[in-house]
Amino acid sequence: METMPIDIKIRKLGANLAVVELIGDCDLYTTPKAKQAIVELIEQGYVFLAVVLEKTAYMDSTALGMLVGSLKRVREHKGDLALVAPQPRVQRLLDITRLTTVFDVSATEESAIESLRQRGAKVP
Amino acid sequence: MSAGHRVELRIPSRAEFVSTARLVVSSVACRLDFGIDAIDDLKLAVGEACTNAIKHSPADSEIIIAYELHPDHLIVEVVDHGRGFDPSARPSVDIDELPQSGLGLMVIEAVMDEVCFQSSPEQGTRVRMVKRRPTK
Repeated sequence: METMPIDIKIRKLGANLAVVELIGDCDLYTTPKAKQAIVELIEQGYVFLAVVLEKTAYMDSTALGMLVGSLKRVREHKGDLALVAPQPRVQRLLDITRLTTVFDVSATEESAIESLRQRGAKVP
Repeated sequence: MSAGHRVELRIPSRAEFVSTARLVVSSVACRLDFGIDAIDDLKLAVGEACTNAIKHSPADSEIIIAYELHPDHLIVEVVDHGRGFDPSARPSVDIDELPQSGLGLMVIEAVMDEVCFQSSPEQGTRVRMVKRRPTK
């Protein structure tokens, strides 16, 4: 079955800050894998997350629901979640659903990390 | 392209087959000379409709996706044999409440020119979507 797999790259930058890069398609089939990775990070105490969407070629509402759920989880732990560099088609999805009013969307990883640092992320 | 050509795809109600439905709509829309943005919209809408169908259908059931090609528009129907729903009783989605579901229908209605839901409890659901070819 031809389904573009998702590749998830994780970098732990500080005691409670991690960068999660979602590479490929994020849909009904692949989103559970991304969700599992993010849930595990939160359980480990990484409650400030920068989710990089620069190489996310396709995203659907299942993935959006997963990101919203992740945002709820980190906020329960006084953390936050920022989206980084969504491609135009993913940005369009965020605009359609008005989730741009919910998520902090940053153009670069650096600006997302600085924003998260100001809200409590421990950056070395 | 002659009017009314129809392509039909039948997929198992399984998540890994949603991408197949997206690939087919991309192919037929390309044949109709839709632009890249419209093709992206169609892939999104078909993906969302199939996702809903799979979520609400028995695992071993069949999802039917019919693509009807017209010179200036494309009609896509997604039919499942799931538990159905009352389209008039759809809850509204409040983004400020951080919803984790209900976004798919919002997306479909935003990217397609016409959308019609036919569904009733235990009778399955038929989603009919129309996308007109953008003028150049």
